Amino acid sequence: MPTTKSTKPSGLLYRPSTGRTELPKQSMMWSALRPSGVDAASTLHDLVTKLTPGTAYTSAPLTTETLRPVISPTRQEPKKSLDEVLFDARAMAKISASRVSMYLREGWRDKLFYQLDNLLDPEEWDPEDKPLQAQSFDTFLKAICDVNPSKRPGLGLSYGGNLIAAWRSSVNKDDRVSLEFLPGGKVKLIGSRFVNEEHVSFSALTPVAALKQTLADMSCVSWLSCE
Amino acid sequence: MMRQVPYKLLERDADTDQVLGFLPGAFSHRPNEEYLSFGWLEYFGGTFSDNLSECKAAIQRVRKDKKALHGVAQVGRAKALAQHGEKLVRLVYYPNDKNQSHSAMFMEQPAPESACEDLAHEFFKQHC
Amino acid sequence: MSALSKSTYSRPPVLEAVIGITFSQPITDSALSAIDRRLSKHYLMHSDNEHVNLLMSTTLGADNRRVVGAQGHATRGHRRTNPGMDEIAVLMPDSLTVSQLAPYQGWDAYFFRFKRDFKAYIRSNIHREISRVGVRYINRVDIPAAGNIVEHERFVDIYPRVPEALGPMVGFSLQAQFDLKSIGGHTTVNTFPVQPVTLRHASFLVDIDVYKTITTPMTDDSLYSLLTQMRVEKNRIFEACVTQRAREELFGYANH
Repeated sequence: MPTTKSTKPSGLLYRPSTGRTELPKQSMMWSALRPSGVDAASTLHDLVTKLTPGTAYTSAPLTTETLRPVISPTRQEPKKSLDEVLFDARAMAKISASRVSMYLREGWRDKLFYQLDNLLDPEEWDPEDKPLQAQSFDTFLKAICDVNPSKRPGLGLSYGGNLIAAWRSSVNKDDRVSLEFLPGGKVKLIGSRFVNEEHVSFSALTPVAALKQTLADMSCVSWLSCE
Repeated sequence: MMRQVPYKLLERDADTDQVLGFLPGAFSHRPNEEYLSFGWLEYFGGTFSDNLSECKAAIQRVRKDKKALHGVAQVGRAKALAQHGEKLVRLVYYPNDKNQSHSAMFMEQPAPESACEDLAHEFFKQHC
Repeated sequence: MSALSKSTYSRPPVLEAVIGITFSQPITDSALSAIDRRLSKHYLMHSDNEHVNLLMSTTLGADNRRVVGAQGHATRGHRRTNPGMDEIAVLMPDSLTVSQLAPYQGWDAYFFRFKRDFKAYIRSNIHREISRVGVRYINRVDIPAAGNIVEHERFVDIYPRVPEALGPMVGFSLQAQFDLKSIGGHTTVNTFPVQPVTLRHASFLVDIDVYKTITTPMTDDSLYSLLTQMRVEKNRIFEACVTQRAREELFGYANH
């Protein structure tokens, strides 16, 4: 883990942790209560009507018309339609891309969104397949920002919802490499090239932090370049 | 034999959208899938061109996908390319109600990456 | 004006820019829906927005049993975004919030959009008295981590001072509040580390919120003038919080 090194006498040292830093809680956090003398209630309204109302605070009265039930051990979110699931996946990807947009080459963001809209089109979507997974997309963004290819990849999506990016060599168009971005920061690299007129395939599984080196080891860095 | 490749597993040019190939993922197993599904052209007993149309239609009855492409390869060649590792590749005629030409390829699971790449390359050589 | 007023950043660290206007009186649901329809041609995506305020407390009853009391209310509004998901407008009965996610295209384009949406909102707001004006910019500074070291203070000039004897921090959260006499308002600056989105970097948020409570009626022009001043103050605060090295190496500063 990196540490900050301070040159000032105050000695600020910071070592980023694996977890997120928690903000001071500014709003009351509520969790299901079972105070003594109160029966288990299936809705907050039920709870309120069973309790002695009134506190030191005053606000507009609680109504079930305006609040969904918030205590319910069996409460289930209504199942989302396919359109909603794919919309959520597209929205997630676009908001994630926004966070690294300052590192994307000009024109990449618009093209990326166009490709994602096509990949996550509800028309002809197989309901057995998973939509784009957030963790896969995060791995993709880390890879793109680190490798910084000048050539845009063709994009695909695995049955499990992992994003796939593919490039072809500009010199020998039969040579290609595809990268499948897995959750947890791993990348599956599969490629092929012609050697003495023989089609030879190769593959590797690499952490995204070592992707640049792996591409160099496989001699396919130039395939990601426009030059 | 014929394999349907959905739109999201077609390799396409980023700028022109032209289809350049099949991605290797098109020849990997779906979760909970025991075998890879293919259509067997010779089942239909007609000309090659007629068999292509009939087989494509039969596959589409099972998984309708207007934007999919269909790759074709020789059975022996496909089996040889799928053979990676010790588990022998078996191709079994496995008809179902919607697709009487359906055949199942049993191979190592998960399918080895190089096998997927080789199959993707081979099946794309002839596609419709 | 900042010495950097004529310069641009090729990689502005802005994650989200927010202009929020709060009104003294809420409008009706039907008036809010009319505003939503008016803005639908600019923001194609719609979702419902709900603010829920819930207060609970416990007291000891006469029979020594713990009693829970709860009161709350919910307010419904509309959230609109463009297909690219980077332009957002949140319409509530008593507030309008116009946001811009990265990539930040500059103040002019953003302010133009805000004025458009504000005019659409106040057409249906017969009261129009503004009670609060806020401009908030959430920035993320991505600092290269060379090996195990992040030279935080070489890029960001706002951080907690802690004794060396306590060893390295694994997290912090700092909030500072200041008066802004130039606008008769205040600012709150929050900074803390966040999960980096790029490899081999450590990321820190610098969240600057400039706000003013309004007690006298405002014309549209006086509101726009105030927002412009608030933006100048926000810039001044941000530039004070980062170093020249951050400007040149991280944000792509080019002095014209």
